[in-house]
Amino acid sequence: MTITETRPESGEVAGRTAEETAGPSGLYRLLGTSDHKTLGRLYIGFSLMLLAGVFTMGALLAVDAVDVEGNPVFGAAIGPASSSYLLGTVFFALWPLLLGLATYVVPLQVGSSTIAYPRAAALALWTWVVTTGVYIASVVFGGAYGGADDEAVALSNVAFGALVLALLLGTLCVIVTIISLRPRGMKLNRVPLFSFSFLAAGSLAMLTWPVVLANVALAQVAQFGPDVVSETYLSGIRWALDVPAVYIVALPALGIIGEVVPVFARRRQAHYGVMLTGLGLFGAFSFGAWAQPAFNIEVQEQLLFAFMAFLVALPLLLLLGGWFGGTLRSGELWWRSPLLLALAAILLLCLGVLTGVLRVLNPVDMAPERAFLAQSSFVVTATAAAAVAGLIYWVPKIYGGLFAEWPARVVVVVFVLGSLLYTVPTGISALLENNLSNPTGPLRALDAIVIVGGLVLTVAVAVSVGAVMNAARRKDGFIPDNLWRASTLEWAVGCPPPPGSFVWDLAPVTSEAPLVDFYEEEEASS
Amino acid sequence: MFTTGSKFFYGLAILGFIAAGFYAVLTASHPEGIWDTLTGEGIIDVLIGPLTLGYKGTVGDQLGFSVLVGFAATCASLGFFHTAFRDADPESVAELVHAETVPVSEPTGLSPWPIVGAFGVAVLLIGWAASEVLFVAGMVALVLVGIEWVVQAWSDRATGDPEVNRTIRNRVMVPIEIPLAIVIGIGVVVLSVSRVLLAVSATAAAIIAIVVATLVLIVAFTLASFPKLRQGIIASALLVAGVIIVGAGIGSALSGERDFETNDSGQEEGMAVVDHVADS
Amino acid sequence: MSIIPVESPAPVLPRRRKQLFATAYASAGVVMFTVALLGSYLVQRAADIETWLADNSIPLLQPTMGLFTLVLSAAAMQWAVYAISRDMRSHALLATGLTGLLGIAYINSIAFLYSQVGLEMANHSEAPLFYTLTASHLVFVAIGVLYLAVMAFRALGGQFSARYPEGISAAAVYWYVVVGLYGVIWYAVYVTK
Repeated sequence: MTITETRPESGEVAGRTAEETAGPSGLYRLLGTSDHKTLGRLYIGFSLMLLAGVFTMGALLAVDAVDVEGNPVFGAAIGPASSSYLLGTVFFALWPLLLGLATYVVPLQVGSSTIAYPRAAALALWTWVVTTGVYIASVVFGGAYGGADDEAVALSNVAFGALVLALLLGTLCVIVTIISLRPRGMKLNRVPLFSFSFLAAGSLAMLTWPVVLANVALAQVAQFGPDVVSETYLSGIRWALDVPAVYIVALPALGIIGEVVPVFARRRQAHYGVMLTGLGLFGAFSFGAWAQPAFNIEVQEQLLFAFMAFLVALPLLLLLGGWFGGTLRSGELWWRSPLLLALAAILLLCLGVLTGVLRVLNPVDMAPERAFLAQSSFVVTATAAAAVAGLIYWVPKIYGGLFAEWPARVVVVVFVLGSLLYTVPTGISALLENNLSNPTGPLRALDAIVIVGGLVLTVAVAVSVGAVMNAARRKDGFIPDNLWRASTLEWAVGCPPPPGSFVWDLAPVTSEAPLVDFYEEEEASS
Repeated sequence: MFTTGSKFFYGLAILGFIAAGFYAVLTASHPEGIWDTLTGEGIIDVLIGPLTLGYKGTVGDQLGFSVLVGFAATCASLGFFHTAFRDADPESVAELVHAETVPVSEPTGLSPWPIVGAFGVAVLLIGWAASEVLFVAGMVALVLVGIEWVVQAWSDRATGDPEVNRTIRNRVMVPIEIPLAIVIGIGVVVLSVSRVLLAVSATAAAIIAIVVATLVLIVAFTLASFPKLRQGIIASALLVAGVIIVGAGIGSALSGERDFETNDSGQEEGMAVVDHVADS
Repeated sequence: MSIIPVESPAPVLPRRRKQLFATAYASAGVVMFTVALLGSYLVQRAADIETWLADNSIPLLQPTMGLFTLVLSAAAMQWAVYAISRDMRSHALLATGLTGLLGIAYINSIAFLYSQVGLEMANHSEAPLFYTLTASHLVFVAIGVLYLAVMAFRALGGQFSARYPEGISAAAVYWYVVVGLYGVIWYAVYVTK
């Protein structure tokens, strides 16, 4: 097999209508673009800033929990602040970050020069940016769920609804790209793991988040009704931030790990079909729109909820078996930063799932609110770690420069340290709160550690942003197309890809690792 | 027969149906527990409920049950879709059009409408929560964006030549766009400047009106005197001026109108004069 | 005179199935949205079964007329799909227009129903749920009418044919979903009050 059937004569784009080949330059090119690569970069840039903001906010919320000398940061605004933090983790930062990576990488992985419905993808990006701004402005004016100003609360509600709609639109574009823009030979079971995980997660999002939108619409209309429902705004959508629904965000993170592990173990992913099954099952058990405490207060004590908490561990074990039992055990490990961060993400996600099982079994009478926060933090930090691992891995492809190894290692150390400080104390405090006669002192000490964790995570994200900007600025001369000797199609094009990306016709794909096939064939023939 | 996509969705559908039945029975059970219910008299009710989708018998939490049944049915439909259309595999699509290969999707050109649409959404949202006028303005903006978008999407595929497509688009839209843009532009400027004039004192309003009119005259004179000036500079200047005028208008609208002196009958002085003239 | 120069090269046909899958996934979202609202409605109705719509009698005439209208529109939609896949463009346009017209008639009938039910937002606890559920379906029908209008415009521009009937087929998928959802709402809200 060969990668290409017909190479272009001189690398130029012949006959393409790509916006990159002609047209105006400057600001209009940026604002009017529908190029998936620019859109992906914009998503990544904005969402990294918001991720740093979310971690800072987590630290500040912990300051209020410690209540140093009765001098709170948020005071009476603690309700809106904590609701904004919870929404921010998933909808303002993490999913947009993953969507940004997917918008950039997925079309390349499936051998397409464009994303499906590129202008709709652009609309999704800008609507997400604008509605995030409107939401933040509404918070400033006393809005957000639990806020004091009814008009501003209503504005937060509709802004959040539009934001979710925008994310769904962006997600739909990526899903349709994976389904309908694949090259010859690439059946769905040969799609790279990140693309497959995003297809599964995106499908689940398309089936879950409209339920969030229904609650948003209901809350918006109900404010004109006889019952005061603004207090129930958050309880109507909080299930989307709790398990099992929050696992939807972790699914693409597993896909990123699935890309990184075989590359840095320098061997093909073993049992590819099993890995796809594992990702699919993890997605299946992530459907949580049925478990809404606002309508059934006992839902989290139901047997089905407990089953789901246990069952989600099974596909995770399947995936762990594929990575540790197969690929990593028999590979030649290359201890680079993406692999280290991916392993950290696996650890954090396992701790999150374990916390979920403990929440259900509750053998030690865990405090419900803190247990929820602990589990949510584990899933959030695991996903963030995997996303940053993916960013380091794909930086040459996205920005055309290298994420130098030493700052990458700094990011790994700081990220792992921050994640552990941010999550583990919350888990311990969930165990202690109901089991100590006087828990105030230990809880305050643990919350103080969470403050440090949040700030360290902020620093980690800031260092990542700095390193990415440096990579984008430096353009380290010539970077080989397939820097890591990876197996998927995005590594068949330049770093960064030329206008139009695949400026030649791809040969039919015959396995899930087309580039490895190519190298093996070349080696055999030589 | 079953493609990868269909297997995924059929799996989800089966899980959804099982979970729905299980959940309906669990939540419909006695407080004593599921075992007491299943061994007691309520068993028929509890089992008939999920089997008839709640038509007869008992279903506990109807929201959870409805969502799970809806999820399962939707996934089954998507599974069927993936089976029927073979996951949109390139081979099946090529076979459909009797070709060796499938057409390659080309990147599209620049378009301002996505970002304009996003700002239209923002105006609509703010209007929804706070102001009817803004809501209508947002709605109008979105309708205009929709029309532009549809025409651009159509013209992009009118021929195989992008240059010709651009010409076709311009021939259809420019005769509409230019008058519409002028009307909207004048409307926005008039509305914004009038908000400013109503917000400041009468003397300041007169001064501002004179200054704005003079500035418009000078800028227009300058632009006309340098016909070779780059379009980018003109566009930037107009953009900055537009942002200042609209920003001042919004700021003034938020701060409200100045207090108008009223006569004894409660009418504003100016209005009284108008009434007097009308009477005479 | 055509505004498209005859000497210009023909456009490359877009890839088949793309719009169908996009519409199918978006329709799945629409179903889940409606099902969630319906579930909330049923929960609230079960909780307030004694007082639910006690001092309101929602007539069944308009909702049933709405159902018949939408069922007819689904038949017209199928006519459009049949016609475009046999290159009968004028039939396809006529059928698409008829479908849209029936959709507007449905919106009209439900709007009239709202004037009849006397369910005030401020005084009836069932009003927010009733209006959110039924009005959101109206919005989905309106989106369907817009979708049909856009596809009709493109069909008029010669972009759909037997070789590429995708746009009309995709609009049909959405339309059938919306009609099916109304069947559920009709039974759950208007029949079993």
